Amino acid sequence: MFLKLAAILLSLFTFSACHASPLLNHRNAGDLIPAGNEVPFNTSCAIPMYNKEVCVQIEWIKGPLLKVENSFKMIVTDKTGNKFNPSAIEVELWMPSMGHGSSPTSVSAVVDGEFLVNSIYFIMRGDWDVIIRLNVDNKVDEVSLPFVL
Amino acid sequence: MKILLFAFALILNSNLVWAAACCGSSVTFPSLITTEEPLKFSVSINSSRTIGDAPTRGIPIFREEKDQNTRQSISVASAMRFEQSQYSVAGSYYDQNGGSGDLSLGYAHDFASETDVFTGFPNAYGLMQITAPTGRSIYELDTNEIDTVTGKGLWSLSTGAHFLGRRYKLDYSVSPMMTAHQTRSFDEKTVSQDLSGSLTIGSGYSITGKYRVGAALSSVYGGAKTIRETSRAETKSRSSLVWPVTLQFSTFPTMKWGWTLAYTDETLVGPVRNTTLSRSISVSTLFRNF
Repeated sequence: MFLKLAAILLSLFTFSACHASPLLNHRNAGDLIPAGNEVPFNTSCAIPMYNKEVCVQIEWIKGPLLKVENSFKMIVTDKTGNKFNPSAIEVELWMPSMGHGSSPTSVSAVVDGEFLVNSIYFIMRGDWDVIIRLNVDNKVDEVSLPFVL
Repeated sequence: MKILLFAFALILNSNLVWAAACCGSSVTFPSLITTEEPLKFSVSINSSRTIGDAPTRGIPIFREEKDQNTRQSISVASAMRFEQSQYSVAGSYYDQNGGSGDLSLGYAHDFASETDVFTGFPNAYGLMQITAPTGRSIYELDTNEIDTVTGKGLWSLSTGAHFLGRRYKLDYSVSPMMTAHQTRSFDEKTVSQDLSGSLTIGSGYSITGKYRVGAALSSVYGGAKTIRETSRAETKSRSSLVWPVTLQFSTFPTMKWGWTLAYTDETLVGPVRNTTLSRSISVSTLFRNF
């Protein structure tokens, strides 16, 4: 009785977990670091997104500094260099060596294609990734900007 | 044969502490005696390699070879039985610039005599464990000295249960655990963490009475952390989730000694979020004093 129950539980447990295997669904870090010299459409693109259809540029207004609120301006352009508004933008802070992030950031539109990112807190020294995710044509594209603070 | 099967199951359960090289979530499980001996002692050598990172949203990112860090540690654990009560202690030591890790004290109540009378029903154990943050945590770092981290940083109290059954040469176990963390202040910050929990399901098969192969799947949930800085109000991270899979091979040449080779992989099943992803291998030996 219990053995059957355990088998059913194990099956449900396994099947619910296997569909999102990191081994089968992941990206390699080398693909996410902006290469610059591999940009196919706009040589002035500072940070190409993963699928290289969109370009972002960031300009730090304050920071990056430790334990204070930082902010930067972000410009989003398409492959022809024109500014445009993605349907959603998310900026996440992440410490890859420590396996944790920070508090959620705040993104607000300034004008078309230009955004202000606030509430950026680096809570400790170390290696940080600023992960930018854009939703363009119902597809999420992202880029990771690594640096050491 | 009955004792041998339980001995194998015991080895399986002597090794249920898996952690990422640095700060990933881990299964917290006290050392436990499931056979008749009054005392057991185990030593485990573990090598863990951080393969990738799972952000809070989006798919995991696997690191380049040069960024994958490896750490070795040695763990010791002992448990003593006094009738139906068991008391245990466990600690670890990390290589390189590490040092001693967190120290855990455990208590287990053996409900085996009550549950064993029902045919086909597993033996049940109630578990409790206190972990003292004797290791060095990430909150105590001034620079990026990630190799020196050896502990979680917070006092924690874990409670749960362990159900262990057998049928012919097959053994199986289910282990739910829940952990509460105490808020702790460091130099310029106060750290607190929401409730964490884990569920482990394992099974094994005994071969010729001397060898056993086993596998276990865990779901480990780490509660969100809140960090209050003196310079600002509050920083709150999201919760973490990881699914370690463990494959084990054990041998028990005598009734007193046992060996286990275990491989744990956190990259096989998901979803995963807000954690590092590691692969580790460990060799354990177990001594039981009858």
